[in-house]
Amino acid sequence: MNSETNTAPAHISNEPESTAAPHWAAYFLSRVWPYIVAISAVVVSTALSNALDIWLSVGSLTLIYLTGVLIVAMRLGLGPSLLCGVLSYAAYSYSFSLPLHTFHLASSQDWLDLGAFMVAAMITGTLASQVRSQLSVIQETARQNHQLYDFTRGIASAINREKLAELVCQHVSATLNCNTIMLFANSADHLESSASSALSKADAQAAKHCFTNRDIIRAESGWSFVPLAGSKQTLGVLGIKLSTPRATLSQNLTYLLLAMRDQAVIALERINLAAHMEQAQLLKETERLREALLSSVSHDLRTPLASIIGAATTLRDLGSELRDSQRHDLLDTVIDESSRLNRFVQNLLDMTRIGYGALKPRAAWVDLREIVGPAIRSLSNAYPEHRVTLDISDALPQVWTDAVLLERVFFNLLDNAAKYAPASKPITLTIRAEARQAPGQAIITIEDHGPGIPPAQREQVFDMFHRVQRGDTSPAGTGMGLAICRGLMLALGGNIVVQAGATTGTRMILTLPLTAAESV
Amino acid sequence: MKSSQIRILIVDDEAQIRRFLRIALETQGYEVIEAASGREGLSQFAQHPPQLVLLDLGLPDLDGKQVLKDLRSRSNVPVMILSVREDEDEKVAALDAGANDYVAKPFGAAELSARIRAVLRAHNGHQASQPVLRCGDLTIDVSRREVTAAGKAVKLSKKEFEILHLLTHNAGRVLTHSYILHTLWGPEHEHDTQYLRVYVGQLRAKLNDDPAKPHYIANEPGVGYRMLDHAV
Repeated sequence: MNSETNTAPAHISNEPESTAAPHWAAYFLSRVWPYIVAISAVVVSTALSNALDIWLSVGSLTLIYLTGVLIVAMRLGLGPSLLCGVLSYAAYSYSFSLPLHTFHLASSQDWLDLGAFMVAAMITGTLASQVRSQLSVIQETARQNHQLYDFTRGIASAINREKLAELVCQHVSATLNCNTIMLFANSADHLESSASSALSKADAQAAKHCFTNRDIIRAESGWSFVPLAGSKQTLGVLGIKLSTPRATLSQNLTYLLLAMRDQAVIALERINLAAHMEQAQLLKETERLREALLSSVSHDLRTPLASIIGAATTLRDLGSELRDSQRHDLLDTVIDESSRLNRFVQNLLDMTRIGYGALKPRAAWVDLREIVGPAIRSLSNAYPEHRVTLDISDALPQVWTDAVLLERVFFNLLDNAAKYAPASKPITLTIRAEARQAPGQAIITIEDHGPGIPPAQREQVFDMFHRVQRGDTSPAGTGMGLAICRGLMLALGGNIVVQAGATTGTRMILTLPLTAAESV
Repeated sequence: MKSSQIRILIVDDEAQIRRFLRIALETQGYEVIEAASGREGLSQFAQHPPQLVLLDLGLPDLDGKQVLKDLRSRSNVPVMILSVREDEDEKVAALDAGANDYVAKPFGAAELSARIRAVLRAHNGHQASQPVLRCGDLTIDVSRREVTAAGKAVKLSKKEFEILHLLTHNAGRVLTHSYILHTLWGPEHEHDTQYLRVYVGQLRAKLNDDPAKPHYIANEPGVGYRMLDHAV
């Protein structure tokens, strides 16, 4: 895991704003309302019985009351149904059973009637309330499933641990009405300390305990910690704190919490895996660069050394037999190859400085013509047969830049052109300033008539150690020159790009701000 | 040394290497022709057949090993590899592909001259098989299978004699493990390097040769053995 994520703050989410406390009247009404309905049911039953009294026997009227009791029991539960039963019997015995207008239970028949009312009310009421509570459980489960589904979908889109923690905390807080915190393990398999700073010392200790023992821990303060147990190791801890102290989660909600935890673990493992793969890719790239550097150093240092040692030992061992011109040639070899080595070492140093961002341009007012001169002179030392044609605008102003770095860019580009292009055609170096399409900039182009660079590789050539692969010819190169040119030009506030030349060759285009280096 | 008749072809893309090689070799009486690429080398070889080829493995156009293969398909001219490649497997591959010896860059002029002479002599020796081989104070009578080292007779087993004979016959040249094994034991034992090491150990013991400061058989780690050439 990246250490950068260690700086992540604690992921805490508070419970959603609770709605205003229920008005006492509404609360009272919700409690009393079923009983009022029960009483109304008795009134309705009595009215109905009165109306039907003419056609029905007295005994049959009990059925009307019983129906009322059943309805109340089904809709409103046990309490109201019992009240309804008692009142129904009272109303019945007062209005219809003999002696009228008394509550006297005259006969065993009356007792049986009352009994029937009560039994019916109790059984139906109990059954109904069971059904209703089952229904509400089913509805609750469906709601939770829906929430879990939303949760899973939500966290599937998380691309990093921070985003995941945010989503998980938000969702758990909303679902369980609690505060939530998510802590991650760092690379050393410890709980990230920076994140737990949001907790009290004792809570942080509890979280750590939960993490190391993979156990659900309840702290004194009301925080509960659940381990995020991955397939291989513990990935972190999920902490919740219910809004009401001492409250506990119902079994259902505990299962929901664990289900969300499991989903979070899966998402976290996915994110970790992706991070690992990215890291592996990075390592591979570093390895490739290292190999390229090694083979470059091995070849580009050894080749000139081979010439120098060979020439020097020939001078020593065969000195007396050599003609003067041969001796001179051998000494030339020693000198040329030594300066080639020097250039290579210079390139290595430049590359290292660019790589570490330690390149500090030292700007001064510079006439670009004066930089071109030395670069061309160095080129004709290395490639005596190549010619450079200059086309420099007369109205070229002085440029505020680093002459030494710029000369290195010019030389590298000319050297590159000479290396790949035939000596029969000249290399063209053009400098224009304040062109309409580039105000405040000098545009320098270096064009050759070599084989050119395939369009697909015109950006890649600026990568370190990239060399254009050609089937039949590839003169010795280090793959560093153009990368260094790009690095130097960027340090000077400019840039360099490749285009196709007018014929087959390559056109290097440099943009250089006339004064921007001032701000560096 | 009289070698005015001998023509050497240098195939190397580095102009500076060719320059010093030409001066060094011409001063020693060789005739030198040059090529900067593999293709040019092959065409030069066809036009002016040389008696020795110095071949760089890292050529711009063809792989040096490919050039070697092409040369071997036309001729058994001695080929000496010059390369900055330090990979031991690379050396072995080139030697097994028919190169006669290998000089790693950077090398000195004297070292190169000595190797060139050894390769040329061994090559010429090949063509006329001598009944008695001499290498410094070592004498091998091939027909009688008798060996004397520093004036004393040495009793060798059949295999030990064959190894010594093969190395001495190619004195100055490195022979790869697999070449020796292939020649003396057959292709199925080509990789039994340990086997060879044991025999060479016994041979050194009998010749009273110190592996740390060899007088006769030098070890080329990872590549093979070389009979040190005392005739230089």
